[in-house]
Amino acid sequence: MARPDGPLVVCVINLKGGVGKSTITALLARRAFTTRSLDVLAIDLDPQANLSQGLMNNAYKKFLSDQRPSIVEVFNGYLPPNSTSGSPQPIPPNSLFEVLANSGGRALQLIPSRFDFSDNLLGAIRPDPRTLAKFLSSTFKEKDLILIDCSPTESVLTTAAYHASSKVLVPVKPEYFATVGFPLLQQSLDSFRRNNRGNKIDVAGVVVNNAFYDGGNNGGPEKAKAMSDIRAESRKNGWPMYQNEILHSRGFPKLMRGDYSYPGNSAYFFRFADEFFRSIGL
Amino acid sequence: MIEKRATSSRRLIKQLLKPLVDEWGPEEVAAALSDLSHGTRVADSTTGGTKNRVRFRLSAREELLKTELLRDEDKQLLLPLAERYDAKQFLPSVADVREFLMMMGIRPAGMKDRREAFRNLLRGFGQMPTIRIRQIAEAAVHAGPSELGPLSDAIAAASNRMRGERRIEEEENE
Repeated sequence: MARPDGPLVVCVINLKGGVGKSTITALLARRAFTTRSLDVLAIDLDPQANLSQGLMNNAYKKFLSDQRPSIVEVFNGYLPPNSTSGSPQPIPPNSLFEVLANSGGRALQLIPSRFDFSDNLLGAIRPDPRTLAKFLSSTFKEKDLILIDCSPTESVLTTAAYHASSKVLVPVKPEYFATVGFPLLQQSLDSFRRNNRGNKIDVAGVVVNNAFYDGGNNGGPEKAKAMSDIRAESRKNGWPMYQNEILHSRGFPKLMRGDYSYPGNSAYFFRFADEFFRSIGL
Repeated sequence: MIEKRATSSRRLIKQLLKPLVDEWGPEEVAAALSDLSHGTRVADSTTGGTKNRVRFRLSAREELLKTELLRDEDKQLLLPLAERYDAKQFLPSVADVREFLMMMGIRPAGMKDRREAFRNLLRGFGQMPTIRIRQIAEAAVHAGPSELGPLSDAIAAASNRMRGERRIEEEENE
């Protein structure tokens, strides 16, 4: 059943790469659908398309070869001419997403990305950053949860994600460069709020990913130093931190390529996921 | 003499099984028997012996055709899927089946091997309307972990197609 006040939209972002945004988005989307029984949409807003590959696995190849619509078409606003149509076509309703699973009237859907997403934006006149928010408000108002996986580089896509979202989830790794993205993200959010006073967007929390190394020694002094920096920066920005860290596990990359055997410590992802869902009121 | 003994032993087994079948249905009893025997059965009961055992495993295709949980129409829809399952081109491991069931909104019960896992799949399909089975039969592509090589080839092919077309357009515009 849809939420009475529309879907909750959360963007997963850190303006530093390699912190686990796509993996966390994929696992949260799946868990929201399978164990929370929510109607879920995941959006891949990163031209690297790792979320799409992680959720679609082998089906992503067919998606590419069939030239099915993606986030590129959401921003372009039309379907390009292809083998069956000789001219640009309007986007048919319910055609811009991939259904990954459905059960009992709810579904897990994905708006996938393609590597040529950045080409498209480069070639276009600067796209309207409100395009995504407009599209979601007209097409996906029945959803419970929408998760947006953002690119680590700030661009018009970042602004598009802010326009569509009310919450921000910030993954971070406890490493030397961990907090590099924090001041950039805070500035980016402040700037957005100044220019869009009607939009209310808050950081739901910071989650520490890849939380210990080397057989459980909990990272030693390097991690302790990084954690101290992360706490200080989060406090300074007024961002809450999740109690449950996401443990380091080789199971995560396996899950992302569709290998569900021996999940290792990734099986404990549910601890953070449940805390996250509670924190956003789901 | 041997034939007489076999007939009487079969009659006794039937008598013993009847209350179980009445209570639980043939599917459940057959599944439980399969678990008990670990996939073995008496090869030739006319000999009266129990020593001569052979491996007995139904393929997924045979399981599908045999089951009473599904309508004939649904079985036909699922037949290609069962054949791909037999060839390990669809859900190649028990872990894949478990994940697939969860994504269908079904809590997977204990599954020790792929045969048992397939029976779980059949029970799941048995609770679905034909339209949903059709969707799954057409869309179910999970064939195990993705590999970088084929994915990389698909990206390169799509890239050549898209960027090539764009380059021609740009050259024409110039």
